[in-house]
Amino acid sequence: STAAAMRGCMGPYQHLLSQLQRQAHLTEDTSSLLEPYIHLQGLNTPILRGSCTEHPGAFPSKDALRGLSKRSFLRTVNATLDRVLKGLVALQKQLLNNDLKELETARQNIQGIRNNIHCMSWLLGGSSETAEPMQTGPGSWLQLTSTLDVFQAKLEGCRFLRGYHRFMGSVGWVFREWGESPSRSRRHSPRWALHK
Amino acid sequence: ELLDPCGHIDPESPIIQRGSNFTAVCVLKEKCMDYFHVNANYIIWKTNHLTVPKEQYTVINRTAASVTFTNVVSPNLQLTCNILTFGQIEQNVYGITVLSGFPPEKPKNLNCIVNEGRKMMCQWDPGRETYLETNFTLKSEWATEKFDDCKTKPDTPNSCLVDYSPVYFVNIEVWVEAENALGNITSDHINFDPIDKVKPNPPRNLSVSNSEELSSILKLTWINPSINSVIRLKYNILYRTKDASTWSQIPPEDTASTRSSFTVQDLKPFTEYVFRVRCMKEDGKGFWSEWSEDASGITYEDR
Amino acid sequence: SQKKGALRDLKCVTNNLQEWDCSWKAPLGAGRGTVYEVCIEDRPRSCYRLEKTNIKIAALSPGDHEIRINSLHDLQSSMSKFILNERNVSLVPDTPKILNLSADFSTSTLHLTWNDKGSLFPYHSNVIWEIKILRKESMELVKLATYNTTLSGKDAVRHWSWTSDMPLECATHHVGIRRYIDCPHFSGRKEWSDWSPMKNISWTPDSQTKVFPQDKVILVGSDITFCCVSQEKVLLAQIGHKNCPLIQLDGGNVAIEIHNISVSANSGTNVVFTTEDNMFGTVVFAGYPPDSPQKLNCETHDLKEIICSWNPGRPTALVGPRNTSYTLFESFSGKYVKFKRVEALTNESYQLLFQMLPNQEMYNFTLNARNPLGRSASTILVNITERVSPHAPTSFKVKDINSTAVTLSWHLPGNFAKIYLLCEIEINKANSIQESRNVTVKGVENSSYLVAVDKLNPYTVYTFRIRCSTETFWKWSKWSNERKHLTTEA
Repeated sequence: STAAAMRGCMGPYQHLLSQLQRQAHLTEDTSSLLEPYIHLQGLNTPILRGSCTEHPGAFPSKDALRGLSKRSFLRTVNATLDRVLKGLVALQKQLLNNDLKELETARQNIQGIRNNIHCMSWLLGGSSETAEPMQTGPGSWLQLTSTLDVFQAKLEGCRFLRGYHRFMGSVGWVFREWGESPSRSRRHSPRWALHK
Repeated sequence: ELLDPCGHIDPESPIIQRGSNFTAVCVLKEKCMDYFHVNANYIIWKTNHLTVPKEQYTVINRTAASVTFTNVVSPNLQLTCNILTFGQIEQNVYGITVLSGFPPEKPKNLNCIVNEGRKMMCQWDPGRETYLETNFTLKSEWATEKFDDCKTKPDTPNSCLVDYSPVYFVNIEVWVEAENALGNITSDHINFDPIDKVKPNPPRNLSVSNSEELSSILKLTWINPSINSVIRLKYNILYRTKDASTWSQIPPEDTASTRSSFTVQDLKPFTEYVFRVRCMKEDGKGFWSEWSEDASGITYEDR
Repeated sequence: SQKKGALRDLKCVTNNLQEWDCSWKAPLGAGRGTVYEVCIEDRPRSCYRLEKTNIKIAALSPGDHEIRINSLHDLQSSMSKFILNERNVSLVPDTPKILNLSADFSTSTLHLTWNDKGSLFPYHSNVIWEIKILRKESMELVKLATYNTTLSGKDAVRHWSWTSDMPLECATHHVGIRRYIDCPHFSGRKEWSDWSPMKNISWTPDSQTKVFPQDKVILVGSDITFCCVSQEKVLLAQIGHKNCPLIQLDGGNVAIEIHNISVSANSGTNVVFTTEDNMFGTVVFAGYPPDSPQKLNCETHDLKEIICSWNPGRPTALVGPRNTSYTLFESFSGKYVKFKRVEALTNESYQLLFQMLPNQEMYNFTLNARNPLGRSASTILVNITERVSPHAPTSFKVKDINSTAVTLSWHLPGNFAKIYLLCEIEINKANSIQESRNVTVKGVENSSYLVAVDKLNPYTVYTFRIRCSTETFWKWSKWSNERKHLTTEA
């Protein structure tokens, strides 16, 4: 309900934007999840690291994100992170009982980002649900299906996380381009134009 | 086989507000009354084994009599209903414990701390003693998610360690609900970003090295706590000569940003100094870490 | 005894001891059109006229037989005599024929079937089959095995399997078979048959998978061969961080041999083959079979449910679907309970619940442990009524009887109606020694118990607590909560 959305959503805009920027910075750091995964799965060799590349089209590109309106951008990030959460569940199953505590931390951080996106959408007037999210490409989303053998599943998990961190880096980049006030974006502000 | 109880007292296990009035009713069983040839007039009330004055009795009917107490202040009253059997033998019919206390006061000064690497702990001032079993529940939520209630342990009624890990850069709303048999009340809500409640681990591996070129300086180096990857830090550095009892402090403005070393100047040559360092979030939000372990070093001889 | 220009080297061979196939070398200068007349002296009407240098005759009885062979050529004739004895005849069995060669690629096992043609052989005889397995186009011999059977006078289809050290996907395997009949009734020379026509088997790629075996589970310390099917040239192969020398197979296929493999992490050990543009891999799980479950103990809190607990022993390094599964089997009732822990606990003990059976006190439990590398078991025979470890008494209350006696009441859940409980009451009086009294109470259906405690002092504060076990003692329950009580005045 609006009241619930109100409570807990502590503006002001600048504080929330700073939080979102810090969260993006936190989650783009591969040592927060990808690196522990690589070590846990024995993928820590130059060759295997070289194969751990992001699936083209699995996550929205930076340029695609930069081209969106603020509300579409928030909506796209929210929808993508929802899929990331599902991916993390699949990853947890793949890891059987291997204790990757960073996975739970990542899950919590993603929940936190989605909470802040919810509040930012609310701050920008109206929930983000209304704006259309950008559809990610048909690229293979995390396919941790049972038909994959263990090795392919390991690589798929790695490529998924590679994409996730890159995506969060792009999200952070876009948030850093947002202006000091809800209405303006630094990309559209005159001062920004001078730098170009 | 013990006598089947000869009656019962209503209410069974009452809890009343201290200083208020209280009435209990003892109801005898017909079978028992026939056996002992007694009725409600034969009832004798006792509190903590002391007979209650007759004035406080009221015989309601043949089987029941009540007793009334005003301004009850005793925290724990043992109230027994007894009968005088065969005119002389006092026989216990039933006993209850009357608890008295206060409803909980509004919890105040709610505050939370996130010890680095551990879960968030919140504490508050629970208000006056209620003399009753009082449950405090710490509630916490985001705009989009409610977290599990944190129920205090009996021996720590004014603090609670939540069972979820802190998520930084997300404002959380926290409050306390207090409840006992006499009522419930809610504290004021506080809303904060856990990152602003961090108490970092202390800097570690503090080491001191001197300089051949400059006999008046000693260089300190240390390893910052891992929270440093998330927040910028500032430091307090204390130092004293080995034999001194009072510490001097490096001006805080000189250690107001993240670093892992510091050169202390204007020291006496060829003198042993002891140092300790602590840190906190650069913007002053949160809590100082504990002090590092002391480390000492000797300045170089003067040339 | 032959004259010059006579025919020579009479040789007789048999493949079924019933017919001898005799052949000789034509005399020098004998050309086409030469006619031979063969006569077996002590066999009536046994002269044969033929234009070829071999003849099939019914097997001759043991002993020497004179054979006369006249060769008639261009109006010239020459005659040769031979003494033929079974001893000079060679038993050369028919060339066997493989009926079917198939492969179970998942287990790298070849399955061979053939017909032993026992019906063509008159006697029961031992047969030694020799099976050769060749690999690659260069037909390297990788296996030469013998397999003994007996000819029974009837045809029998024989089966033989072989598990390859190298995955069958990565190289063509060729199989041939021959046989040697060790017939006791035959005094002549026994020789091997010819090799059967070779049959071969190779893998037709049906998926992206390039490296084999896939997701293999093996015992720590084993040797294993991995191989990679590749059209491109494989440049490097690694297991974990270690580079391995490549063994070239056909085409671009390569293999590596691992000896004495070390234990894998839970996520398995990665095996990777790298080409110029690609990288293919698999995972191997090197672990241990399950230890025999240790410290197996079965007891009950309430004579309703039996709790069996144990310690799994040495970690197997295998988790998830390869984890150890346990089954608790009770032999008197034939009932069993399964346990499968997908996540491996630390070395903490494991436990299973088994519902007690009406009117059964003796339980003979076998706990079976099993994982892909093996199985083990532990057993325990218990009289469950002697293994009762009751829950802590609850709802413990003290009520006055009079100034020197109180009643203690408590609740102890359990089917104890048929047994006696032994309870210990601890009585503490401020600044005086602790007193302990034992009481035996009959178990009751409703789990509510009541005893009287007398010889107390009037108007005195006592602290009571109680714990119980069964008369046939096994373990005390935990203590109940303490209850402070002021006895009434005298």
